[in-house]
Amino acid sequence: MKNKSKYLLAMVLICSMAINIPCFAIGWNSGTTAAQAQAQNAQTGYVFRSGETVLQLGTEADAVLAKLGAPVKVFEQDSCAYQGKDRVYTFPGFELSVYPDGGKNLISDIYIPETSTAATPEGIHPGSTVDEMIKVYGSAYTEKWGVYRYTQGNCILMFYTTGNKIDVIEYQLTAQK
Amino acid sequence: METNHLKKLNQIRPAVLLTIAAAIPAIALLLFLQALLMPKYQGRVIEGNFTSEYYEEELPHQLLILGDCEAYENISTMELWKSFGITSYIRGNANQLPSQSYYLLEEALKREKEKPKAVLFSVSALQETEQAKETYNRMVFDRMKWSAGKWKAIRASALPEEHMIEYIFPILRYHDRWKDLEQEDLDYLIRRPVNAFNGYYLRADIRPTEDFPTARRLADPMLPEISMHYLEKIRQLCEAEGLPLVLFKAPSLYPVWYPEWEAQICEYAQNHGIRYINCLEEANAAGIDYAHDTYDGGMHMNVYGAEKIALYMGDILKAELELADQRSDAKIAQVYDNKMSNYKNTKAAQEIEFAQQGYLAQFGGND
Repeated sequence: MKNKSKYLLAMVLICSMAINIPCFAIGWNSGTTAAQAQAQNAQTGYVFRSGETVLQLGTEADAVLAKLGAPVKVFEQDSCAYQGKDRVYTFPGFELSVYPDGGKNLISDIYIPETSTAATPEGIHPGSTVDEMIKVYGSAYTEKWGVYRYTQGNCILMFYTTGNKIDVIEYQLTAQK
Repeated sequence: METNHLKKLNQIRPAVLLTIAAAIPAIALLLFLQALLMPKYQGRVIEGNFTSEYYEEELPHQLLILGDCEAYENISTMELWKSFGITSYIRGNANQLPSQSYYLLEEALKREKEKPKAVLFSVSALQETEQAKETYNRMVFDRMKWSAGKWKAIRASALPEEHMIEYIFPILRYHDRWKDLEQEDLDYLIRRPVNAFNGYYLRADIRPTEDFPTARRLADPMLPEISMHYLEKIRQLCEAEGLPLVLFKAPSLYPVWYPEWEAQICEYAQNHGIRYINCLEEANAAGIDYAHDTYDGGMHMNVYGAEKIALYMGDILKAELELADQRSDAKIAQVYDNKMSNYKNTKAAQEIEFAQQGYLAQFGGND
């Protein structure tokens, strides 16, 4: 009887381990959400300023939108299979893209078009030269197809050029979920 | 010696049997909880069942259509049947990546009762480098039957935070849903109804085209290498099976389909002798009215637009691919008569609801 109990206990323990090991292997908690991860990175990324308002990728958009006031235009798009609404807000001089994540609206992109008079906080704007850009941001960029990319934290700061002239500036989130 | 060995076995056997007897109800409980907690996709979002609805098909298909929402929302498979007698199936999912299209095609070619006559691939998804959200991968894979292809497909498109063990045991992924359970989780615990029409997602509401944001500068004019890699795999698979491949661009006005991408597709098609039908450029010829034929302002066709695209494409596909008219086959016709009846009823019900309310409640049109 004693031996039978031993073997029975051993079998039960083995079955329990077989079920529990996968659970503990990945952790019962799925860990930080993408929003939390982006927030952790956000502090070190490039920022854009519109007047006194600071816009930082991966941060919540609602407070920023309240400070910016009424946009010129809002475009809404239901993402595939209704996984939230992506929105593009057009303000004088730039477009602000927002996406939903974890019940919050986060800033995913800032786009400064060719016709804009807006500039980065470091003073580069459409019409600046590539040389001026390198003087400000340094040479730690990658370039492909005339697009210069500087990465800092969760932000890729992109300068689209034609020849030596900057046409468009874009702040892009490094990973959007 | 042997007697001792047999004695020991006789001692162990009851313990093993007892353990198995104890494990069976535990496993059954876990399977029940897993079935309960997995999303059923019977409400606003029905796309999560599209992969598994294919397994309900009784008959083979002449034409397999692959792609993301530009495939499953813009071509009416029922119109292809009604007007041309072409049997088709759209193996499409929300945000379906080219890698996923490849493995779903591979699976379909193994499962089809007779070899199809052609494959149609929607090119819009080629612009995606990687999956946007884990949810989309779950919709593609959660109810896909297990195979080596499924394993490879998951490996090809999983995001860094995804784990294979959560696909093997979905309860590990959905254990949190216990607080979000709804009536449908019980109603559809065992079986879920088929909502699409041979993979076609029917919408009979209308929202005319409005303004879109200005097209942005393209940072990289080349379609991603990984996407073109899987397009090439699809082409090679079709070639190996002796199936003509046709490329397709839906008449969706947004997101922007850039001239640079169009040029690449045209070049690829020309280099490989592949037919490419760009319904965005041919929208006028297809009779698309963007004030009437779209349910979301020009991003996807509604049923009226999808039927026009099917009519336009059907003429071309029938002529160039010699797809036989199967309306005279009694067995096929009987099955498709039932499908057409459901299709017409669903379309009529949506039309009435939209006429009365101005939106379709199931799809949250009042948002």
